Amino acid sequence: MGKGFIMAITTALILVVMMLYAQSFAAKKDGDISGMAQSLVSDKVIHAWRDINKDVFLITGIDVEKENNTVTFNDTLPAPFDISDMLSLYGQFISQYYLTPDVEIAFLNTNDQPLNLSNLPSKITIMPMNIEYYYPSWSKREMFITSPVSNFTAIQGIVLHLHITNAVLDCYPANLSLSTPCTAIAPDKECDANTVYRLYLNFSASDYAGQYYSMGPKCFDLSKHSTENLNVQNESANYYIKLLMGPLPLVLDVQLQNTVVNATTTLILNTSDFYINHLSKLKVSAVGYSTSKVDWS
Amino acid sequence: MKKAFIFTLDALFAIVVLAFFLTAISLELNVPRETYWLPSIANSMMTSLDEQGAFYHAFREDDAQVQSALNSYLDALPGGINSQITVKIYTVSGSTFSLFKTIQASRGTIGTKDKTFTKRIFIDVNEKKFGLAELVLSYG
Repeated sequence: MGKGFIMAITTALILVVMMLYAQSFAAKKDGDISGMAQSLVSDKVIHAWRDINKDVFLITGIDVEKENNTVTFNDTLPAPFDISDMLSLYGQFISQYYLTPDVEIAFLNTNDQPLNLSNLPSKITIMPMNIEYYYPSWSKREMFITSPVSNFTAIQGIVLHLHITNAVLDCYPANLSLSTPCTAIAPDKECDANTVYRLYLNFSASDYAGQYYSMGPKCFDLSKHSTENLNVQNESANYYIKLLMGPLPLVLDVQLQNTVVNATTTLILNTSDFYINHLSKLKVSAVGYSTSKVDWS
Repeated sequence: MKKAFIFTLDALFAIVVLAFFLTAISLELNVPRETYWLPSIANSMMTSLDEQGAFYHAFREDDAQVQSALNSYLDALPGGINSQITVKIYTVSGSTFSLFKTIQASRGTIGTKDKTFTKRIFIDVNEKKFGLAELVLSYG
């Protein structure tokens, strides 16, 4: 009976171990499958995010790069097509043809509230200084850089280059045969020892004929307003580029009349400790999973 | 008789243990592992095709040329993978999209299991055209 009892206990113990092993095995299988499913879903979400993000950049035509204490905006002004219309159509196309039932997308503002792609704000903000690079509308006929007065000292200087693609510089020394100077891009109020709000502007322009003009750096007192016209011409006098500086919060205003430019604007800041709020956040999430990717688009 | 009963129970117990392990091994061997890397291959291939401009040619170039190029990309996939890629171009009037053309390339026959499907969107902002590429991969 003793032996029988021991055998019975041994058998019971072995059965318990087998049950525990089976349970552990099943849990591991579930974990493996769940982990792999999560990985596949994450891969799908990231793929969709990058796919849509590249198209939004293609439509808006603006590229922003941060490097140490500088921010460079590469832009085309004005817009070569109706950007608002294209954004709206793109949003419709995504909904009708691209999205699958297991993926959701949303464009979010700075407060993480959803916004319609056709209402995408035409503004990029450098934080925490709240320096803005924006257009009044997506026609991009005018470009502004503004800064709160209290944060203006964060801007050490601006380097602006405009490459004119549909007109030529109609002034000296860009065109050596002319006598009219390109422009006396001189501040209406130059900086002196008492100037508090100093903008150091380094400006250059080129055109499709290979002509080139440069100026700077010059110091503008942004407590006052300065306006400079750059002489351009293309068979008609009704072409111009106008630069306006100050007073704060206006730092720079680039106005275009019948002139198309590739603009490169570099802001030199007094710190590298800043971040950029782009046009909007793009959120792509997987339905039924806690997986999503949210980042500035 | 008592001994026989015990021996029978012992044999049954051995069979149960053996059955358990055989089942576990069988389950492990039958996991469709190919399913797990097919979607990654599909996504990577679509990204690569898009970044190389393969889809944009469909907006303007000869369809036969585009199809030939897509076929050569599919031929570069590892053996055992069957594939089919469909590129659709849409025009728009107002806010209504119309299918302008479809270009398709394939290799092998798409199976019914171990299959994955992925999409890629691309646009021509100057011509106001929209494109959708759909890739189906299957293994075995």
